[in-house]
Amino acid sequence: MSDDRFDEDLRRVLLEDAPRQVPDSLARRVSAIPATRPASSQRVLNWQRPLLVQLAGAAAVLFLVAIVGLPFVLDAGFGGTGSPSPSASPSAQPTPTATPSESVSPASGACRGSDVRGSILRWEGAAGTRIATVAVTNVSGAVCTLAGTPGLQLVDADDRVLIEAPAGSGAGDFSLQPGAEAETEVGVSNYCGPDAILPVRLVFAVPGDTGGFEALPAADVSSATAVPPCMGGGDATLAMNGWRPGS
Amino acid sequence: MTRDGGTEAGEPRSAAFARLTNQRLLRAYRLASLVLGDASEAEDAVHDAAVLAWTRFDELRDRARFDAWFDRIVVNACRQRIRRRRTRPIASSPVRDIGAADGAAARAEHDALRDALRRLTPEHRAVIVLRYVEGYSPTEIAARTGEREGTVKSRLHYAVRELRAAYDAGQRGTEG
Repeated sequence: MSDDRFDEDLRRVLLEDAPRQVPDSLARRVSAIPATRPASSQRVLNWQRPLLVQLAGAAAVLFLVAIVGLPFVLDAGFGGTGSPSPSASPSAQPTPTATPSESVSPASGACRGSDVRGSILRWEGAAGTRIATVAVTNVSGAVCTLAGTPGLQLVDADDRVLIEAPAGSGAGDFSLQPGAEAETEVGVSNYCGPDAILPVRLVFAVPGDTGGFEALPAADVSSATAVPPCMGGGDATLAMNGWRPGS
Repeated sequence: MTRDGGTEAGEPRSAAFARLTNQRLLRAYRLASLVLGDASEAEDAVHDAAVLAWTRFDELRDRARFDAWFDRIVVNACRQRIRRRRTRPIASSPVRDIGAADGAAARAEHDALRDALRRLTPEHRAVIVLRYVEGYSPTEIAARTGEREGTVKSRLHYAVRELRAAYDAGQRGTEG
């Protein structure tokens, strides 16, 4: 009996007995892990971000607190301990939650559509994940607060919500002075729904509020590669880093 | 430059974790199923491994090594489950499509292999799966089991010897 035939038969037996797909229950349980188990390390620290930038961000937040003298959450922007935005399921029914508001922003209240201008500076990505760099500028005359873990939506040109993630625990809020800019990255992956109508935009929903704001693609930014491919198995994901001062 | 398996600059942690585990989940579940011999336990073991991987994700400096790192956590999760067992499980016989052309001889050999696989210890079964299903070299298997390469080679040698003996006996049984 040749070794080759033994090897072949052993491999065949193993493959016959092996599962061919991941059970939906397992895929769901694993997808839910980041949302249900906050990272032991600080949520918003990106391991690739230079320490100097992190320290600069922390110093900026402390400066703002000292100047404004309001009871902001001190772990705003960096060092937040709240849950990351949880993985989300593709959604066909929900409607975009952020609509332009003409209400006057209260001092230190949540940033709404009329308070800020959000832009998607670029889309990048490979291997199934797409990452948007988002800049938000406070165009109002008052300080407003960017929620650290807002609800997130990826919305297409037909106002169809492609992927959404609910708001988190509320930690990591970032105070934005008039005229100041904040940035973050939003990652999306594994969209398996119907074809999206481009361009797409990101919606940041304010927890406990009907307001919020949108980030639209900048004039020279294409949405051609913004919608992530379907990788199969598991939920779509939509998550963001913490806010940091704009560059 | 992005390494294979590495994250894009600025990719959120949870997105990177989801992407990497999604890519690896079937292989992890397959490994656990074959080592534990029980689909339900395999699901729990992989989930346990994923939870541990999430809490230790920042310890993984080179995310291009995620596959080997995660496999090692899965193997350890399987080991823990086996240690907690009070009795040896009775592995359910999977439904197999028995090709008509193979006939009784092939079934006897295959059944003999299955019985012999169940008699192996989980450590031996793990190296067999990693070698014959995933195609890893002893060096790569060592990285995934946390054992020395010499130990892996020794286990492979022993396991293959046991399986080969059962296989040959199964063949002789149909010749008799």
